[in-house]
Amino acid sequence: MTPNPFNSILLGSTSPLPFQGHFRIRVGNQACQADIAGRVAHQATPEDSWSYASFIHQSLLAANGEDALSLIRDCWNRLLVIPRHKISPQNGLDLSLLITARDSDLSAISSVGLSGIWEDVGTDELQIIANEQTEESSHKGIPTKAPKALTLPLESGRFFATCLGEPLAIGTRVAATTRMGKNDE
Amino acid sequence: MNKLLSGDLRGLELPRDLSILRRDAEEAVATGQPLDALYEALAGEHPIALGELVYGPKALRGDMAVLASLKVLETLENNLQPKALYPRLVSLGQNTATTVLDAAIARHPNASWVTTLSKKLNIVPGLQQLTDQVDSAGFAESCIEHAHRGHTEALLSLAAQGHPEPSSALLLAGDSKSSIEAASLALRARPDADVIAWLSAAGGPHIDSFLCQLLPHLQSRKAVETLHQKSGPFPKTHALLRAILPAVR
Repeated sequence: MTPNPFNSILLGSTSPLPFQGHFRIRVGNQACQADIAGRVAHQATPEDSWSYASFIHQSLLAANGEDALSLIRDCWNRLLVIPRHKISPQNGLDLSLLITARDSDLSAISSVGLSGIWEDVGTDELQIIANEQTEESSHKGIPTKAPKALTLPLESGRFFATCLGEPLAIGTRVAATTRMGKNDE
Repeated sequence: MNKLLSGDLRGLELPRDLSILRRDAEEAVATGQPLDALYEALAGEHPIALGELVYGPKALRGDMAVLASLKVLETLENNLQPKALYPRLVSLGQNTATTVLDAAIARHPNASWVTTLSKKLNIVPGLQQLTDQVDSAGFAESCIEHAHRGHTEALLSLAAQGHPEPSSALLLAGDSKSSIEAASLALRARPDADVIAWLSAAGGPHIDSFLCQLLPHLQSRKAVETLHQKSGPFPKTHALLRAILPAVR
């Protein structure tokens, strides 16, 4: 059986190694599922970036919940208890994270450290959900308390996001695809 | 500076003044003066005369002359076939053969005569430059640059010394097959080479199936153990490594 495509896509940066410090993980259960894409420690060496990214990946692995919103809350609860110095050499200030979750009733997204979020609504044009001025999603790095989640209609599609400090102008699915890296799916 | 050398060709009548032109250019080579402005001016106004100086029977010799000619390749190629031009340029400079070959590869990456030329020169394109930079901070970026220029053999050679950077550079350049080869060479030389960190930095977090292609090439238990340790975020790769771990010695 082909698994559902991953719904959180954090686009590559414009640096020579575009996915340094990137990670992604799918968590949840039969009732709800969350796709998480993030980047951390991208200014460290690739080896160190990978260690920090793997650590966060590991920390989120057991996240669970009864529905989409509680699953998102559990993800944040797991992140917020990690000592900041273990998140990255910049104490988590360089964390970018996009969580999209869904259950049988709704979809929801929650994020930090992003310059933009777009929804793939099935057309060539992507629909912008948030930009650098959007307070919650553009918060720099790990927050002190769990950010709010934005609830969306159940039929929401994939979400693309760019990390804070990265160019915002993607706008189309084709442009986004060029920054998705090597994709096995 | 001499008027002609500064690119001022006013009053020059060719072919009548070719001997004057040649004399001034030879003098410039002998005294180490740059030929760039003269070559650029000739490329615009007298491409045939430029050809006389650059690749004709009495072409100017020396590294400086050859390097200046690389800045007007577009014009030179319009008047002489590349497969004749580049071997001629190689023959004119003692220390510029690699640079000329690099220029040839950059402009004609798929030409068979480029391969013939590099074999004849016994030069692996890019190898010297990459070797010079191996301990510098810019090594990774240099690998990427060379990967985009098609210097696969040089990158594989560096990978065989245990460096993971070439595998990531080749992946960025879209050469997945060579990227896997480079990663396996790096692991063969240095089983703890962190190829997963480098490959994921280049290809992103969606490379699970790609990483699986690396597994048949693993030759040491240490390499399998290291990869297993690092591959947690890639479930397919991680599971396969766990499965083969007991079987490797």
